[in-house]
Amino acid sequence: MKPITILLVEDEESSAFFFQHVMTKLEMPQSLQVAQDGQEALDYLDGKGRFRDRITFPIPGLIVLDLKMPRVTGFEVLGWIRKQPELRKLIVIVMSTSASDSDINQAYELGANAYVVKPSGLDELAEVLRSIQHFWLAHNRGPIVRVSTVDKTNVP
Amino acid sequence: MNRRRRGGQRPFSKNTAIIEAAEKRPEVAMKNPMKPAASKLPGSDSAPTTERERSRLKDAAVANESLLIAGLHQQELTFAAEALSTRLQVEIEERKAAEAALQQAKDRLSNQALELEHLVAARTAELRETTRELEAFSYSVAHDMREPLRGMRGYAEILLAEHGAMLNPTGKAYLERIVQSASRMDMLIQDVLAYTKVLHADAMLTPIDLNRLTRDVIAIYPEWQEPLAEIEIVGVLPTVLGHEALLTQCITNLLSNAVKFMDPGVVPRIQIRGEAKPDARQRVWFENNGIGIAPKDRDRVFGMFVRLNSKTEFGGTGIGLTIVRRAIERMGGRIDFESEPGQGSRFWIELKEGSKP
Repeated sequence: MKPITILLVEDEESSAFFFQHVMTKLEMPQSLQVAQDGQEALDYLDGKGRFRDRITFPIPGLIVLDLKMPRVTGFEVLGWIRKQPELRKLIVIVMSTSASDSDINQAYELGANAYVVKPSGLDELAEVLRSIQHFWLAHNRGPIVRVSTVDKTNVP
Repeated sequence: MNRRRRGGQRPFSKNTAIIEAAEKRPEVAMKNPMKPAASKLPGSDSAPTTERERSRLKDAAVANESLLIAGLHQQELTFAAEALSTRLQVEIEERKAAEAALQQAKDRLSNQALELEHLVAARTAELRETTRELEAFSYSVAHDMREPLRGMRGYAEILLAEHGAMLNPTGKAYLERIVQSASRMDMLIQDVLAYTKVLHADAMLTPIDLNRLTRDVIAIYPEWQEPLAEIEIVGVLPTVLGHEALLTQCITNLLSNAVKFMDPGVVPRIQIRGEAKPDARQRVWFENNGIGIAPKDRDRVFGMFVRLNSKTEFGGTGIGLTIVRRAIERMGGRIDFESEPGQGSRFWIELKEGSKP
């Protein structure tokens, strides 16, 4: 069985690096793809440009989404996903520095499955990733998401 | 002479001459009432008169006199009335002018008041907007500051964990300092964010059962459970008018202080009790067996970033009680404490009583 792909949408290079680093440390079996901002996340999910290749860039089993990003914000990405007939069921965990009630509520209103305030140290990050792995990637039964590959992939 | 004297006794003495003249030659007297002397024509005294004629003439003279007086009065009255009317007219004009001026002044004043009101409203809106922008700005700055900080800390941690073997103990110690400093700064930023949140939280007051809330808060923290700490709620805590999030913050901060400031090796023993106060107010005491607070430090306890003890002894940023005080004040309450060094401290918060839901 193919390993689940996690799509991390994160504009901060360090944050993305730590995420990857901790995943490796924890020996998580999932493969990680990083979109560097909201626009790139949309392109990835929509299979545009280089993301047409669904073998290299498969539809993720889990999206970890930052909120405050240039170009297209996490809220916009979330809103867009929930409007796509094929992608709307995707599991999205928001991971943001913001602990403000309004951000948290808005994320849930737009259809976030979970909200995590970004941990500040690597130990805490490891803790969060371990929880995500245990619950969202092991115990939780996710939706079945299939996308039509017509015109979206160059792979036969 | 007799008649003259008699005439002099009359109340209207100025008319004596008229009567005299009338007695002599009424037609002349009527023509020249004010000049009786001129009417004294030669031979007038010699006109023959019977007693009856004299009496008739006299009656006519009296009637004439009345008419004359009435006429004169009427004339005087007419003059007076005309004068009065003119004066009244003038006064009315003046008054009208004054009233118009007053009205104008009033209009101007109310216009100005209205303008002033608009100005105040506009300025208030501007100020509110500025405050909102400033809040949003500081909030986002605080957030943005956490990101590079996370970077510093993360890389230092990775260096320590994976490349620590290449460093001597001093080098490792420096890296540990970087990690500590970064996490301390992160705590400060988080506390400032918490403080701004308290300042601007929507403080709708509802009845809050402190008995339940306090138990819930205590249950969250492993370090507040026995045998690490003994926290006891004495009796039943009251229901107060408050805001759940703010009160949660207050109880958390008060308890974490109560547990923290202990002499080494002492197990924190904390008692929480309610006390009904006059005017439907409820006080809740948080008493501990800690190091206490010296009288000289009394005024500094609630100050922002004030730390009464060295940070190597006790962790923290020194903003905890500032947050509690602001939160209690936002709920219309009071906070204070009693303490002596070595005798523990007794903090209390006081809020309006809330009816049990």
